[in-house]
Amino acid sequence: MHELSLATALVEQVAEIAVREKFERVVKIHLELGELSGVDRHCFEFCFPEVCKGSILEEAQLILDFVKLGRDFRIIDLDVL
Amino acid sequence: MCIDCGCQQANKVAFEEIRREKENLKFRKIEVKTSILDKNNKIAETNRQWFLDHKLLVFNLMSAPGSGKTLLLEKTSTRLKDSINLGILVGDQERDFDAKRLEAAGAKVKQLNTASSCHLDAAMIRGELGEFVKPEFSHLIIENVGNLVCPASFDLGESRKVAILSTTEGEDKPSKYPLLFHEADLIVITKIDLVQYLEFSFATCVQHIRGVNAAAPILCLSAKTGQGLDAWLDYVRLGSVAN
Repeated sequence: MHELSLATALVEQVAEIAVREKFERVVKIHLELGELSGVDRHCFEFCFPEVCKGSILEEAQLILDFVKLGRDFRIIDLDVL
Repeated sequence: MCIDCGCQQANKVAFEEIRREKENLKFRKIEVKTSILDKNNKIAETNRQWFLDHKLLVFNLMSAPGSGKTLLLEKTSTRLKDSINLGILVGDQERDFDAKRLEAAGAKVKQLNTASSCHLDAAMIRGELGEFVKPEFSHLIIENVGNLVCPASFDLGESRKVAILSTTEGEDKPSKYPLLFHEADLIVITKIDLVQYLEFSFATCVQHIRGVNAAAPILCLSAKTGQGLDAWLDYVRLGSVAN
């Protein structure tokens, strides 16, 4: 249920990184999603494109690594322009 | 190129390599490796420091809706109001019924409405520090939004996470919603006065709890009859189970 908040937090976090690292567009975003992180993969994948509209992530390809027994939900890396 | 000798395939591979090389030149890879909850976690840490600086013991109460959190807090407030300086924050999507109930019980209370959100987050608590949450409070209880999923992921800066399970919900909830029960420092089973009407086995429930949380103390109580309440009140006072 909180996947929408997480997707929003993700977009905000990437926007902050964009200011720091000086980039304008994200081509690919690579995330790690742990089985025990409390995040539902399908729900997140549904929310993500909606939240990204109008942001620097709008055209980004989403790569989700599902980690069995993992606890984290985190950004691994970004391909940026 | 022709379709016979394989030169087409060879060219395809070569083109693909060139395309990748070009992209590699254009794209920059940025290693991040931070949690998506990083921002919330950082705010939670500043909250935790504020609580430490002002010597507040803070509890985050999490459970399903209707588990008896508010009744438990009514009794807690009434019984402890002369011995500790307790503040209560109650989270719900809408309305202020809980705050009104607790106010009537004499508690210092503020309602937080989360609107579209299904949990409290650290920023909502930060907004209350030095405002509703006074430095002179000795204790703060945060009643999270009734939900067994999302509140578990959001650190508020609390000292103790308390998971509440009522007998009417069934014994197996900890196995079905493992994260919340796994994270808890204390697990409270409420509404034990109703057991005589239910098919509820404490042994089975404890088995389900121990499957996801090996160490947290378990308290059984009825806020309605007062049975087992003293151990809970001691826990609130001390932040640990009294021997």
